[in-house]
Amino acid sequence: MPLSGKSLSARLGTPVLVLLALLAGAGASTAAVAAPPAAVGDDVLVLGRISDDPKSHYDQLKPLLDYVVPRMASVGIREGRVLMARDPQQMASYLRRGRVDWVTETAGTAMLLRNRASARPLVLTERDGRSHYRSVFFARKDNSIRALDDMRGHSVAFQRPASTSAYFVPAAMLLDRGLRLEILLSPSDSVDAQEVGYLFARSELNIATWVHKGLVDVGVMSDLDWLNPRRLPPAFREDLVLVARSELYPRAVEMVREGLAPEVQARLSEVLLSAADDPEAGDALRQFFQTTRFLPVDTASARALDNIAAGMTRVREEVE
Amino acid sequence: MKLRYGLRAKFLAVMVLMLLLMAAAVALMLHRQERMQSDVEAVSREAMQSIVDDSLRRRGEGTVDQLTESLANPLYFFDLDTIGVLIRAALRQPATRYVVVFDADGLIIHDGSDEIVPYGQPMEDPLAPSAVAATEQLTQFSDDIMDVTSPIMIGAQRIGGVRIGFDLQSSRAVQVEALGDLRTRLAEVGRRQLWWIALLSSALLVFSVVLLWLVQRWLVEPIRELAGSARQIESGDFDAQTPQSRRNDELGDLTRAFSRMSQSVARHDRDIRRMAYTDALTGLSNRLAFREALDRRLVQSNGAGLQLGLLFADIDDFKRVNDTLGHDAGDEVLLQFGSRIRAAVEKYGGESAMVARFGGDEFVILVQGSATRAGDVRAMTTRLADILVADLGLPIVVRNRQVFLSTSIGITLFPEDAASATALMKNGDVAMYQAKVAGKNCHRFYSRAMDQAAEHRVHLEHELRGAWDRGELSLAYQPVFRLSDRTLIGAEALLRWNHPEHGAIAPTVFIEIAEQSGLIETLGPQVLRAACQDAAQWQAASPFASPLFVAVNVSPRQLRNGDLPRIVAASLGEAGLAPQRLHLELTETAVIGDEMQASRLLTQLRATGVKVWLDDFGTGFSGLSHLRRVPVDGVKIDRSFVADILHDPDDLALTSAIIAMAHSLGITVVAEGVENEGQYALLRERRCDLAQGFWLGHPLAMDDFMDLLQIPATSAT
Repeated sequence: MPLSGKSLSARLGTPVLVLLALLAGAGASTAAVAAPPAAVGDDVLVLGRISDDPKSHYDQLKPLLDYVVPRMASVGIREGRVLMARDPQQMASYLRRGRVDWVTETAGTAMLLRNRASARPLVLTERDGRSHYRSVFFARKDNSIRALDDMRGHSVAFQRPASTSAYFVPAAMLLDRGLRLEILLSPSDSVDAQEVGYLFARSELNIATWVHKGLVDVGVMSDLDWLNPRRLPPAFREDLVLVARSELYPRAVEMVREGLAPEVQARLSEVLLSAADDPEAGDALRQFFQTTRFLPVDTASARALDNIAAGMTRVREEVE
Repeated sequence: MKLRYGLRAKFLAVMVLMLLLMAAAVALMLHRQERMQSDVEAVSREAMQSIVDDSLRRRGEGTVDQLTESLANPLYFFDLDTIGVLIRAALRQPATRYVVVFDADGLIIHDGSDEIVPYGQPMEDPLAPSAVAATEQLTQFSDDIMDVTSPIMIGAQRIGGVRIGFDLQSSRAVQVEALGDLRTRLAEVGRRQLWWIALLSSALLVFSVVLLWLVQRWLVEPIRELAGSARQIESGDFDAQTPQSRRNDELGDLTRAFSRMSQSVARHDRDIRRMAYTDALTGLSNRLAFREALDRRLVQSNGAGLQLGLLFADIDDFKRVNDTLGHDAGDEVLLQFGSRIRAAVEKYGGESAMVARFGGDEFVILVQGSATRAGDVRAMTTRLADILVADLGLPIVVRNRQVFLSTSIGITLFPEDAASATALMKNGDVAMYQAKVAGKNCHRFYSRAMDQAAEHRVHLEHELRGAWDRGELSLAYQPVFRLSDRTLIGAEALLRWNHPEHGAIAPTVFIEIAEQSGLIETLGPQVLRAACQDAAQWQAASPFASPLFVAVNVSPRQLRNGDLPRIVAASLGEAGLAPQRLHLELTETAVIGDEMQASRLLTQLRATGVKVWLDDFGTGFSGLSHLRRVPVDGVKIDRSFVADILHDPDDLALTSAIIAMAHSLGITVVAEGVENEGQYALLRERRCDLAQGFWLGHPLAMDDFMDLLQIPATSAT
């Protein structure tokens, strides 16, 4: 349910929030970070994040915010704040209501926010030197599956429903292939010969183990996880073989809300893109989820993001 | 210091014994402690094992419970990742050997490793079957593993199980470590106890040493002092310092008692010494004291050039006082003599003079002259001797009677006469004897000649001993006549000694020697026997004449010997002489010495018929009263009376009185020493019965006397 215009949201939100603040009691209104967020002025830049661990994430976000805010005085930004949401729905709500100006997210979630709150990607984020990655399908070598089409009548292990690389992207790929996905009750559940049974394994390690131990036939994870020994024990990889892989897509995206002043967007984009060259930003970047630099959204990446957005929509419609 | 087995050694031995006993007790205690330690260790091991096993079991079961709970959901979802995390967390617990999650069929699902190599395989270990079959928590033990297994349930459905293996080895190791710790602590406790024991032992040792010291101080030392003191007293040192003590205990009492005893012993010693060194009668020093004093003086004078003089004073004829006045009177005389001598010596004897009584009537005076003036001692002793002779010659009143006594003094000088005490005392004796010989009531200095005289006397005594057997002694017979008709009626036997070298020796000389040396007791019977035999021959020679008697002198010694009647009887029997023919002549003094004994003997003799005459009558003190008590047949008037009978009216009166008195008692009277006709005529006129003397007849040898018998009595000269 997209809302248009900051002024509207501000106008609607302020009395509600004031009422909420009154209900919640004294002191809550002064908290900069605590939910529910108070309405903020134009001179405040709010950095948001979907988090189940606000305490540790705050320390990761704040340094970059502190780096950025002073550099945005030219566009009227005097103050920076952090606001975290429990899930994409809440974050989408914040974005729609103008409570959050800037969100850093993985590609899948970013597209979810675009779909739901009309947020738009500002810059791409390169982490650990990788700005893009892809999803890979793998199976045991002694298994006959060597292509996505071979998966009919077999089971696949995704990570969790919110995962971009281990769910949305591969599920969309399977759907694109015309395969029907059916959720299984357990790894031992039988799969209809015309369908692909899927399970959420909760972790990459579970995916790897299930595949390796034959609980499922195929597993999916990002190529980064595929190469990470903690996610996929090297001993397992020897017995596994890659079956398919997706196209490259951005790893993470800095999103801004719809309606954020263009000059603010421009200046933020400018500051972020040049941060990698500024030694003063070094620590702040590193703490910002191992960010190595920010990149402009090129067309290929934009198309990849569009694909992800489309795939997500389709997965929502056809699988869930 | 030699450690004899005294109190100290005994105490030491007891101490050592005590210490040994204590050491044994300590050793026993240590042994017990060791045993106790090992017991404690064993009990602790058991208890610990049970505790450890129990706690391990509880821990294991708790862990499994918890794990089972946590694993249910992940297992249900096959969340191997979470299962792995849980298993690894469980594996990180100490002593956990393995954690295995298995499915309902008992196939391994996860073992905590990254690769889960045994995934899908059955468990092969011996405990597996029961673990898989378990429907509730089960704990099993193998040698080194405690296996706790529990089924994992979702509702009533068993979806698998978990097993945890606990390493007993490591818990055993913990146990061993704990036991080691316990052992160390016990050893530490033991060591501390050992220290205490050592401390106590040391304290006891110190206590023993202190006690030993106290025993030494309280007992041994005082006793040793007492013993030392006793030894000193034993060796005669009564002046030795006796230990003093102010202690209020038994030893203090002992010390004080000892002190008092030693004083008492010293006092007794002084008394005994005084008694031993003092003459009880006069209070003067005795022979022993004098002898020691003399020895001391001699030692002192050795080298100092001292001169000493010894005066031996002997009361002349003191025996007569005892005999006639009794011993009490004699003692009184001696006391007075003693005080006179002491007075004289104090006055003239010099400062260091000393008077002693040598028993009997012998007094000895020691005077000391100065070393510087030679001859000083001689002059001093001469003067002292003169004064003593004079003083002692003064009459002494005893029991209202005046007694006249004289003293003979022998003097010897040191160092002129002799160097030793013995020689000096012998010399003094010799000199005194010489004074006696010289007529008594005078003093004589010792000279070598005196020594020779004394030696001569000793020589004579020696010669006299065998003289009878050698035939040197012979009997002479002096005829005794009846005054009325001048008839020979008997003879007095007289002993003659014809010495081969010295010729005839005076009877007064050798008879006295025989008397003094006791030879008379041998000679007397021999003379008696010979006289009896001779008299028997007289009778045989003129059988028809009236039988002659023989008169034999009997010495006082013979009379004192109770054998006389037997010897007389034997001699008479041997010779075959009638007892009436034997007259025994006794001196007055011999009879007076012991009247009772004499009376008894004389009565006995007279009963056999033997006649008893008193010789030398009138010279003694006895007086005529004795004649009443002593049974005699006749008296012989001493020659001293007869000698002056013609010129001295006193003697004549006395002689006449004796004759008259004797006749009134029925006693025969014999006059001795008739040397002229006038005496003979006067005695006949005074009616004296018998007479003998040179005028009537000289003593004749046996043969000559036999010749005389051939002459008719009437033709006698």
